[in-house]
Amino acid sequence: MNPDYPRKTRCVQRSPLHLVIPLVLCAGTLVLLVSCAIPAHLERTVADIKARMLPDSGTPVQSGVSASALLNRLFLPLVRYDSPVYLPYVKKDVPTPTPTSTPTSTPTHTPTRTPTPTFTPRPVGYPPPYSTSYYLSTTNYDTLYRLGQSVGASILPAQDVIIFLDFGQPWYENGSWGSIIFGSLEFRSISQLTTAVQAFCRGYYINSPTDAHLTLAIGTSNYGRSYEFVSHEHGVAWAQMVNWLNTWIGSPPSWASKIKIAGAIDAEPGWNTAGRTRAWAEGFDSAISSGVYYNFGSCDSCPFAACPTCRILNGWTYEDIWYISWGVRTAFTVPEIYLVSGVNADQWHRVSLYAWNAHGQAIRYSGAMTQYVSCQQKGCTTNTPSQGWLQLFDYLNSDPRTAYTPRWSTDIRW
Amino acid sequence: MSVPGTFRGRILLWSALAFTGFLVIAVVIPLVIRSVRLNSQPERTTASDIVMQNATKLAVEATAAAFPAAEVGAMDIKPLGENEAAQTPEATAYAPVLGAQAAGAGAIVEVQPPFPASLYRIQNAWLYDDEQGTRRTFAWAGSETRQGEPEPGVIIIQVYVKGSNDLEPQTEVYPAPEGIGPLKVISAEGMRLSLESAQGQVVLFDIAERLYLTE
Repeated sequence: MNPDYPRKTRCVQRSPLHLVIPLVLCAGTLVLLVSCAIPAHLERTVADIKARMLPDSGTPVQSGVSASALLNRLFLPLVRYDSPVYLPYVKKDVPTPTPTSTPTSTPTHTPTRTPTPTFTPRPVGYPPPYSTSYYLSTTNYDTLYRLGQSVGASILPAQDVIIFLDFGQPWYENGSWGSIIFGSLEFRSISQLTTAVQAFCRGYYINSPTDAHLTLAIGTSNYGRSYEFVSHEHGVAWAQMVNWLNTWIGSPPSWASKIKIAGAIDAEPGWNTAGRTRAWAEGFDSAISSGVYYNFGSCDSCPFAACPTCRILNGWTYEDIWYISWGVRTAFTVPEIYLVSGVNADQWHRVSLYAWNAHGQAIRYSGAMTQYVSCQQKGCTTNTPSQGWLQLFDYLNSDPRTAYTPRWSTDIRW
Repeated sequence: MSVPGTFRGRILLWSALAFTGFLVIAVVIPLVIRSVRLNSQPERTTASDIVMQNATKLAVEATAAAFPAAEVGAMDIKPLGENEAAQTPEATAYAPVLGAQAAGAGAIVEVQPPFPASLYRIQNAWLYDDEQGTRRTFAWAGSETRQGEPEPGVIIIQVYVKGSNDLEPQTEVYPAPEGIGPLKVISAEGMRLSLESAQGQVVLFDIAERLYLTE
């Protein structure tokens, strides 16, 4: 290089090729990328559309889907992995990718309908008679036996109820899985819990009508801020307890025509991570041979009409809520519908709508849980059992995609 | 002559760099993304999988809902199982709580409250056992749940009496003074609790009198 050659002059003398060649190459790169990426997205989109167009019977719907409806489906959130995958060419006028659409009609929450005093087939939209569920602070055999007796005596002929016995947070001690019961905060092993449930069943069986049906859900929770006992292993142990109890119920003389045992978990986003809660659910599902589990938790901080951008606590997503409430093969849900404003029912309706959009099937909630009796004496304001059930029913049935009639209503006492 | 030579060399260098960039962007990155996705998604859900899963779900639901017909002539009462006969009776007094942090006359614990987060968000609790260990008083500290709005602080007092009110402990709710947010027990002196709100305000609560106090 000639050191005397002015630098400025050298730049001026550069050929336009200096810019053109890299530009052409970059343009080629872009073309190649676009041609690779779009077909992949389209392939997934078409697969999802096909999935959504297939009804539960598995017969493809060939008619009745207009071009605009088909177009609208293109803009639904596509769930392929654990989180939604959105198409890169979503139209600007699509309001939001999250399933926050509000019910088409505003549900009314005036509790004008009351539970029927005796068990008769209910007209659609009328709440079922509610049962009472319990947070337990004892596993004393006699206490549980007497509790079973009193519950059995309160059941109407041919009534179908679910009762939750909540034994508290998961725990592991002295080589055994179990839980920390309320009040005494003492550890109870799976074996001790099993015996307590047997006592309840004996008391219930003796005092209940012969044609009544009880689903007894044995509850724990996903609570565990500092401990890792909410785990796959605990789920397995809980399922094994349910298996053993159902085998015992079915052994001669069989009580299976009156009592069915299920697992249950009070899964609250504020209490633990989605990962640990999912692990518990998967553990339960992997070990259960006869029975299911019911999530009687909350959708705390989930979006609702007045707060469509609310974020679920602890980084949970709709997918997590759906997964532990319905996505797992043996998962069912009796959601907490406490707030008189209808917010809880709204939140759970949105989860169901998400399920419909993302997985082609709305959640069929098994019932509604309230906490009226305890609250009434303590000064807090909460839904009555019929109010809670009606709120959930109204929200679900305000939208044909999520329409369903929950089977049960239960009120939990603290 | 050296100048054009240098210029040609630079063009070649730029072209080589651009081609390498092209290779990285167009080939290497898509391949890496693809391999990561394939690894994190071992099974690809297809439309038929979804239909199958949804059909399975309904079948499980139907099974869970069904009760078999009662067996005719079956004996009603089951014989007592070994585990039932061998059960150990419960203690007549409350045992100290492992892992509890001593504070004043009682201890601070972080355990599952018997309230759902839809109603109350509990931060922690202070508990106190009487001398006989048969009466346990909890002071749950937290806030009332108000979805999407500021949440007022609250203390909930629960009294359990061993073997007496296990299924229905005496429960009282004490809303915090106006403007105080979610509370947490930070210390105690005797039966007087120091609570800190989420905004950093400190309030006192006297368990015996069931009263919020000003310092």
